[in-house]
Amino acid sequence: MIKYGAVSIAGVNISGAPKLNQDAASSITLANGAIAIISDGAGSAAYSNIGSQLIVRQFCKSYARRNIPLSLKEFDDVVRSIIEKIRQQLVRLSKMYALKAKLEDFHATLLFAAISGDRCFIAHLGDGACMLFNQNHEIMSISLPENGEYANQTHFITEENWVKHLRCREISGNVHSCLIMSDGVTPLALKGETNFPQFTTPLLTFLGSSEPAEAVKTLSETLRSDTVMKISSDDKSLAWWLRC
Amino acid sequence: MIPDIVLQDNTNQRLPCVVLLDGSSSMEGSAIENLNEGLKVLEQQLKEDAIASLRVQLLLLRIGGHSDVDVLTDWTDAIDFSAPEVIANGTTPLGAGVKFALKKLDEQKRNYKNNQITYNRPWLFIITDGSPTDVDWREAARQAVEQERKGKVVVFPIGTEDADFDNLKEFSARGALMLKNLDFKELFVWLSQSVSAGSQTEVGSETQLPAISWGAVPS
Repeated sequence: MIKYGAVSIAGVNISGAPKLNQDAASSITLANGAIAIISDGAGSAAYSNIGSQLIVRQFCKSYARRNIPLSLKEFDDVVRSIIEKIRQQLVRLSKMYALKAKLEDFHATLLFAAISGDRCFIAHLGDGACMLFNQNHEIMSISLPENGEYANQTHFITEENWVKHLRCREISGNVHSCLIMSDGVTPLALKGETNFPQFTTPLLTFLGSSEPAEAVKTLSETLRSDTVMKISSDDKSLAWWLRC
Repeated sequence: MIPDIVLQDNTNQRLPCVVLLDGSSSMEGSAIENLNEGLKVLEQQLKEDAIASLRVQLLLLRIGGHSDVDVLTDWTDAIDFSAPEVIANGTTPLGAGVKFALKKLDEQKRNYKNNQITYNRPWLFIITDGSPTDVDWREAARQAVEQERKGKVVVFPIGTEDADFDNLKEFSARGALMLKNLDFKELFVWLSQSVSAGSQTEVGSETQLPAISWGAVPS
C-alpha cells in the first residue's frame, strides 16, 4: 500500500496577507505505484500560476496514461515529450485567450518523482528539492536545487534551453518514501546540501501514521504557521508518497 | 502542528553589501556627525531584523586622507556589525574607492562559491557630499556601469545636497539620488530595510525596495 498526498500554501506579502499562490502540487496513485509532482511559478512572470497548474495537471494526466518506463532512457523520453506538449499547450492557451503572453510569461519549474514496483524515477528542472528515504527514514538520495549565479535565479521548463537543465535519474535501492518540495520549504528540510533530519524524520513518521485528510490538514497548518512564514514568506508546496 | 518537528531556517545565503563613505574634509561638522549617528541606526535596525541580521554581509569603506581608501569594517555578518566612527579629513578619491569596492566584491563572491554559500546580487552604496578628486574616476565609473550592465552588482550613488550630481550619476545607469537635510538616519533606516528585502528576494522575482522618505532625484 502507498500513502500519498500534496499541499500547496500561498506565501504572504509584507503586511502578512496571502499572495496569489504560484505553486501547484499533486500526488496520485498509479498501478502498483504513485507519482508526486510540484511546479513553482516564477514571481516575476505574469501567468506563472497558470503555467505551474498546467504543468502539474498535464503531467498527472499524461504520465498515468503511459506504460511504466522500464529504463531511465524511456523515462527521460516520456518526460521530454510531456514537457514539449505542455510548452505547445501554453502557446495555444495564450492565443486562445488573447493573453499576448510569451512562453517566459508562464515560467515555472518541475519536480517529479514516480515509483512503480521497485523502479523509482525523478525528473527535476529548477529549484526546490526531491528527497528519497529508506524505510528507516534515512536519506538515500537528494536532487538539489539548481540556481543561477544568484540565489533568486533558477531555470524553468518554459525557457528556451530547458533541455540543458532537465535532470532525470533512476534511484536504485529499496526506496521507501519520497518528499518533494518547492523552494519555500527547502530552508526547513535541507541544511546546505544535506538532509535536516530534525524536520524530515518527524514529518515522515507523521505522514506514515496519519489518515490522508489529517495529514494534509496538519501539514498545511504547520506550513502556514508564523514560525514557518518568518523563515520564508514564499509559497510552500510539499508532495509525498510512502510505502506502508 | 506535526509532533516533534523542528522548524528552523537552515538557509546558508548571503547578500554582500558594500557601503562606501565619503570621509573627506568637506564632511566635517554636522554632515559627519549625522553620518555617524546614521551608522548606529543601521547597526540597530539590522540586528533587530531576524533574517537580515544573518543574511546581510557588510563591508564599510571610507575615502579621504591623502587619496586613501580605508577598510572601516571588513566583511561581517550584520548580526556582528558594530558601527565604526568615520573621521572627516582629506580628499575624495571616489574612483579609487569604487574600484576597491568592486575588487572586494569579486573576492567575496569567490569565497562564497568556494564555500558553497548561495548569494544574492551584491549591492554597492556610494555616499558622498562632493565630487571625485582622483584623476581616473571616470574609468571607475565606467567599470561600475559595466558591472551593473552585466548583472554583477547593483550600484546606488547617493549625494548630499552639495554633491556634484553630474559626476555622481555616472557611477550607475540608473543615476543618483539626493539626500536632503543630511538626514542620514532616515537614509540608513531605508538602507537596512532595502538590504533586508534584498536578502529575502524570492526566486524568479526582483527586489521591491521601500519608498524613499529621505531624498529625491536631483534636478
